[in-house]
Amino acid sequence: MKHSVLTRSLLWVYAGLVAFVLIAPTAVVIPLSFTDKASLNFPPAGWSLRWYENFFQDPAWMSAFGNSVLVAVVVAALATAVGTAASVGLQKWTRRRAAKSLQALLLAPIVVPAIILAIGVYAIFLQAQMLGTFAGFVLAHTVLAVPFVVVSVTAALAGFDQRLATAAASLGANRWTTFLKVTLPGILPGVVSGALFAFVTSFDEVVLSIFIKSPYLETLPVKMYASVTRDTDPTIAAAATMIMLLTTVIIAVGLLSMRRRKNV
Amino acid sequence: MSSQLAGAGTRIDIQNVTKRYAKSVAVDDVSLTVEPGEFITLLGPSGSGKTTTLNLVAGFTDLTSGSIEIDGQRVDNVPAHKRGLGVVFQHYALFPHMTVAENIAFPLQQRRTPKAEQKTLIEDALRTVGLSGYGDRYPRQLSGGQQQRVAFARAMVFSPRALLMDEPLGALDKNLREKLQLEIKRIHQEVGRTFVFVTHDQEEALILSDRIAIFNNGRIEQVGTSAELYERPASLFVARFMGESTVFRAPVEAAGPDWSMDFHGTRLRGPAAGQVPGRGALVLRPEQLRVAPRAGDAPGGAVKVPVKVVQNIYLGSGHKYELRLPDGSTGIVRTPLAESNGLRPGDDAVVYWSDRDGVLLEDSDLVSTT
Repeated sequence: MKHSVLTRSLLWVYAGLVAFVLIAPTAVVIPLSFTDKASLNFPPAGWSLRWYENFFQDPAWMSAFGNSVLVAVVVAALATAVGTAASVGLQKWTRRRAAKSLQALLLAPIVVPAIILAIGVYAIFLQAQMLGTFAGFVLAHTVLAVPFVVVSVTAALAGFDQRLATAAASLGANRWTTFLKVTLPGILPGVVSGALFAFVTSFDEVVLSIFIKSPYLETLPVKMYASVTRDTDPTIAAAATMIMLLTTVIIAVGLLSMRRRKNV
Repeated sequence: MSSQLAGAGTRIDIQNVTKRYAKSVAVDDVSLTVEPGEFITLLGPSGSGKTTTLNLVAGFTDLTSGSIEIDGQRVDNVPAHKRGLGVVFQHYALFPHMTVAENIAFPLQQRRTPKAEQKTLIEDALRTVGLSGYGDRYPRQLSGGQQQRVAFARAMVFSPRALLMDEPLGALDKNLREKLQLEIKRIHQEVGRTFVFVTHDQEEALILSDRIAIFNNGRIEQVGTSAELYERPASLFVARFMGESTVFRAPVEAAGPDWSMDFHGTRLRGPAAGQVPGRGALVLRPEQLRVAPRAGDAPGGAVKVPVKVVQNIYLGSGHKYELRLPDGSTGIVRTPLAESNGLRPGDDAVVYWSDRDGVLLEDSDLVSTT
């Protein structure tokens, strides 16, 4: 069905409006980070790079940034391994109803409010003496990241032709070889996008992290939260802009590489 | 051309195999012995259990009861990847992320064949299927027929004990199918291995097979050469599935070798039947029947039944008649051109045959009209 010019232009205006509402609050941060004043004023009166300079020269900011990247990389690896294994297992499980229930359980961290999860994790970590530890951050973030891997790998497996795995078996490949050489290359786009989501989930996680941080180990979002409540220093805008840039680049690269694979 | 892929055939023994699912029985007490080097076809309509039987042999499905032996060695508890059988699937199942050569190398890598030897074997396999020089292409760059040839090469390159094929030509168009049928037959003669082929196309089965096993409702109805199945069908189902036939059904009287039945006022006789059933179905092939305008035109000793002509089709080599029998069912007659008789649709006529022809079978379906 062809729409009239009027309908089409109205549709564009509406879409533009929605996009603006979605993006504007985030985009405001970008000019804020280039202000020359020591306060968060919008729009900024003058321009400078001093807050970026401050970010890269302050060891507290840099260590928080380093922690975030390191935790996110390990979480991405761990969550991808666990989530992929879980998806494959769930798909092969012949008792479908049990598999469905278990999958719902695996996806629960997406639905359960982060604050509730945070309290639970805090109580356990307090006993296990894992508060403010690297392993603690990795474990807590992995719980949040696994559902994203499960969702994207399950979707990839649904589109994967299982007959290829059967063929591999007939050609003499055991299950492990079949998975590595046939199934994994087939579902790779889903695994990669799962890994990217896992990275981003960990990288900008703040609620859980506030509960389990310590003065010795905190991640970038935690440091930002502390900064905005204490001293409203525009360094936080610089940090936010860079987080935004990093996550946007990662997701864009992921989406683009997936589209390329699909077009092969 | 002598191929490196040539080898001795393997014997496959399927004994009393049953596969039961929660609500249905897919394979019901099937026994079949495939002789070494034989080309056997499992033929039947969809859902008859032929593919399930193949999957049981390949190890893709676990059997409920019975046993499967390959060269006297029990394999039904051996996982698929250790059975050493080559399988060709209807949908090719080539690995899309590997080149043709990598696909064919896959089974060799699993067997840790030395690299140099792999290369020779891959080239030999590609030559056998007529695709020399295609090694560097990806499956998506090939046509359906070429992909299926690669699938053949991949399934044969590791010298499997037997080659199992599940409707390998089902996804191809008619011309290509006929070409590949001849090629499969040539490859079978060349490599001399045991081939088990699944199809629902009886013509394909006739072209390819040494023997055919006819499946129906999870059971084997009959196993035999195509001539045996055509000339001496063991059941009405087999008679119908293997080519055209005309069926006269009526209660059998005077049981014994000198059986007879009363078909709408005509006494039918025929060759002695093994087990004379209560309700009979006398099956005659189109070339065993003749048709004439009047009863007087038929030879004296012939069995004669009055019919109405529905169609008279000129085929060049002869005529094919479609007739309406007194019970409303359809009869089919093929006659040589020399016997043209000018019958037209709507004419009354007489169909007749020698009482030495025909096979008396049990009428298994009482309501059907063909």
